[in-house]
Amino acid sequence: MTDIPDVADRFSGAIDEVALGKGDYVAGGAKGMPFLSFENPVKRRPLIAGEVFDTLDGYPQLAADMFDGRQKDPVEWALMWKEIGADMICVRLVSTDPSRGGTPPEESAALVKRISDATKLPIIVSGCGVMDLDIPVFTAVAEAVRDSRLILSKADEDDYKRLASVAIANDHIVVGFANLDVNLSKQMNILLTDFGVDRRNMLTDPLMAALGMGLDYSYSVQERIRIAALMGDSMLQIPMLCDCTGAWDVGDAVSDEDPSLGDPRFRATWWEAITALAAVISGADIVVMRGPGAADMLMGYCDELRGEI
Amino acid sequence: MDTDKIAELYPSVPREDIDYLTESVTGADVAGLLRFAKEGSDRAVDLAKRMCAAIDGGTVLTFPETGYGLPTVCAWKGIDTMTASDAIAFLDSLPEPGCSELADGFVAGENAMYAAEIIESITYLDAPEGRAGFVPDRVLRALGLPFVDETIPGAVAFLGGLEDPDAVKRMARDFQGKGMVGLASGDYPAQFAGAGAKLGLDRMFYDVGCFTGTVNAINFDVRAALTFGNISPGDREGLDAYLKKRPKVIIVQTGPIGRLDAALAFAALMHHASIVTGCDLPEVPGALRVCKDPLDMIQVGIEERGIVVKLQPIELPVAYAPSFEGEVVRKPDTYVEAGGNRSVSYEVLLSKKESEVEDGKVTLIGKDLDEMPEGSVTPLALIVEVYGPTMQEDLESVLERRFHSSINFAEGVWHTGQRDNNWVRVSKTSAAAGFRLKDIGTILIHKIKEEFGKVVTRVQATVITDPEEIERRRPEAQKAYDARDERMRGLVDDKVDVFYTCSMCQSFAPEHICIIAPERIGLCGAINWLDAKAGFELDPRGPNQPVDKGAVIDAPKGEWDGVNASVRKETMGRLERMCMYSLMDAPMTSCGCFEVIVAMTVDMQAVVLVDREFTGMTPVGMKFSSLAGSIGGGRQTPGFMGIGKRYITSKRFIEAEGGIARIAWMPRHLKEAVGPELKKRCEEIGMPDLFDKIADETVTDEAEGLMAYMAEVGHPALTMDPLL
Repeated sequence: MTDIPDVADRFSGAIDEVALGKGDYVAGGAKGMPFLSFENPVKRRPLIAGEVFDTLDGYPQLAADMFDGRQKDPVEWALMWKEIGADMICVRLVSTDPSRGGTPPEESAALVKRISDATKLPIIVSGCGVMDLDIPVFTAVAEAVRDSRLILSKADEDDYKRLASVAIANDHIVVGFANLDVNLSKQMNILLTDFGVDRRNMLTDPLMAALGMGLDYSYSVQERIRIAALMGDSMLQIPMLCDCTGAWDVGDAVSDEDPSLGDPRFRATWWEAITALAAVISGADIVVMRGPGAADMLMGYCDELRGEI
Repeated sequence: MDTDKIAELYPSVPREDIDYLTESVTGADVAGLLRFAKEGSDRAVDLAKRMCAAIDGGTVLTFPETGYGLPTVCAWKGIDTMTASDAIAFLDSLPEPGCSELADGFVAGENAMYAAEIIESITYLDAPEGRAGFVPDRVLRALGLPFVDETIPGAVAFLGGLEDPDAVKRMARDFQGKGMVGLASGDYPAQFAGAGAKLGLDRMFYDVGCFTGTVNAINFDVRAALTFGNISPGDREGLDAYLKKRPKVIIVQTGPIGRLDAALAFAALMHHASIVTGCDLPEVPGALRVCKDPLDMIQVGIEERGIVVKLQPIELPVAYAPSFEGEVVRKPDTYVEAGGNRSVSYEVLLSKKESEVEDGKVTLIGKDLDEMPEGSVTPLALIVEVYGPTMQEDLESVLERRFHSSINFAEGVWHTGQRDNNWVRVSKTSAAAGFRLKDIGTILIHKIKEEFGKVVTRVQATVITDPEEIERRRPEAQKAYDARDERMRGLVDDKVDVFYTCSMCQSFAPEHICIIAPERIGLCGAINWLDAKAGFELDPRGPNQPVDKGAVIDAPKGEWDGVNASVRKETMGRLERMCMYSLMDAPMTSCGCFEVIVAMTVDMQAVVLVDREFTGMTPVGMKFSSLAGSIGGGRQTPGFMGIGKRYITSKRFIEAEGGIARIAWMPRHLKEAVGPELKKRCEEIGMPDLFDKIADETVTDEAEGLMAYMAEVGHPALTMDPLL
């Protein structure tokens, strides 16, 4: 009888562990490549965050129809995500933009607080994308929610000090974003560390491009980041957050123009699930999902890959 | 400061205490300063105890509108509430400061800080509403984030006083123009107000009071750390680490220094403030600097504390963007030109002493463009002088090289060449729009500070069109050019201990690492040893890291144990070694950016060189593109290697394999481009006819053809050992 060759890579490095929410959820910790249990004794499943918006203005109807009307109240929406099995909630505060309602920071803060209290899940907070508008919102949110470690998303190379300062002041977690570049991801982690952000308060977002939008690039970059981290590059050992909701921005995924492509509801769901699958097998520790069906499929994939089905 | 005024503001403090604590000197040696601070500290502690004893022991000591009780006590000792009787016990528990070493100063400073805060809080008990001094939490909170995220670059605390209203006014304009917070104590608040500078809680410029009020500058600083650093009260280590980074505070102290101020100055040092003083005190690098010119004190402090002031956007009458870099100003469109062999013109960047450079100053000597007729040819000198604590002469040429793109970014302004063979044109349109030659100075200052602000903290520019002045300053420029040329000639691998890595390309070739040596430019051709050195100075954690060469393992191959260690580290252990001068044994890897590929010939006797621009076939049977595909991505492929063009004529060009004598073929235009240098090298190695023995595509692009040609001309490589 021939021996089965041992193909396991032995890595010296490990991914950091970041405690989220009330400390009852942990991201990261991997000591090997994802789902390779013979390499990676830490068999932690990637955390799945369900996306919730503070306004449905601009939110795709195709996705809205999947939430039985509960999407009309962000707290209800978040609770539905919890029922589906999401580990976390990603709250997008976009109505703070004056062109989308100009919700004052205190109201946004109160909303996040309500969602946090109702779901008791860790919360990712993201803004409208204009840092000048987002900083007062992040500040208010960070001060309003003190009993849960929030994830504030996201800081980039050009403008990270303000968000990092908000995170430091309230012991929340800050996401360092880099645009599909291993070096830049590393640089971002270095910049945040140099600025004084504790490693237990950092996540890295390498930009998860959706299927058809450069998924292959993201896959390679993330895999490289993860391998370098496991080989011992400490400045890349920060847990990785991948936002897969970009799948819903792909025309081919959601278009209903060509009937031969089938029902766009299923297509979009598959599209996001496949995007997320690429994310988790290339190293994502947290994934943000828009569609409940896609999130459900992803949970199934993870269970299968973990040998639990 | 006038003690009568203090006595009026502090009625509960005995006059003799005020006199003793404010009695001042204008200079001291280390021992004197320590003794002075200890005397101030001991007396303040004693005074604080007496004042506590004089009030109801149950009185809670605090300040208006704060949640931190006595903020410095809260921050450093973790005590958030303190009554008058607690305070006496607390003051009794403080260690007695000595006066023999610096550490004693810190003990004295810390004690004085607590005592001053206690005294200050007691005098607040029956102070009138709106008394200047303590900055309430709400103001700090509103200011806080911009303060710690460095939107506000830092704070200046003014201590003492300055009689000259004009100087005071200029100081105010200086720090406010830099967007910094001001904290004025002693005579300064009145003097600033007298000079027309407005102070107020809404102006980021606060009157913290006098006498013990100076401590309000410190408790402002420490509360920022507690509030925004998420530091637990009493966590001395955490607090110290945070304050080291921010908020960045400098203290400008003018006039004689009193006992209490001397003690509190040590407390400020404990908070990582940098002090700039006009007194004759011993200098401590990074902490205490002496500066006699009040107008220079803020700048010195900024440099000392490492404060980065954001540049205001450049203001020009024409557009300014990289998109204009390639724009050419043709002769008929030219309003004025200089250089290009039509007139004397030179440009130079010189590093100077701190006192010789006034930051931001642009000087024009001679006529400007509007005083010249259209179509003029003018002589021109562009002299930029810089100072920075970490600036080195080696970096002058790196900075000077940016003149070219910096000037070209301006619309309708064209620049080419360098040093004393440059050529500048300004278009009629830009001249009409208001562009002046003096603006070139503004541009140069701005761009150099923007790109090299970490190395140079002061930049001044002089634009000269006056022929006499141009001639007068020319020898200095010439001297700099000569010195640099001399340095470059002496800059060889054997003369330096350090090479540099360049990991810039790891973003797409994560397993590649460049090692840049004086005699081996980066394979992209863009980064030489000096650039890499500058890169490291500018960004110490960036892609250019110094590599200690270490012990030599094999000199002809260019193998050092330090280089090997760095290569191992940078490739995560994938590569064990790298030989700097070898094509065959552990050659340098290639990312994909190489200008030229060196490839072994089919008969393994020689090499061909092919550059990126050459699209034809080569005698190794592959075009550049196919060769590039097989050697890129960080692999070590003996026999094939990507290099920078300038490496071809380096003495270290594949030295292990016999150097340039191995070159059998290269595209004609490449041969022409490196021709003069290569001919020189051929002579140097005693093979003056080698150059003509190197074939090009007009001779052959086939392996057999090349072998036949080599045999025909008697190429030296044929007599060497085969490469493999």
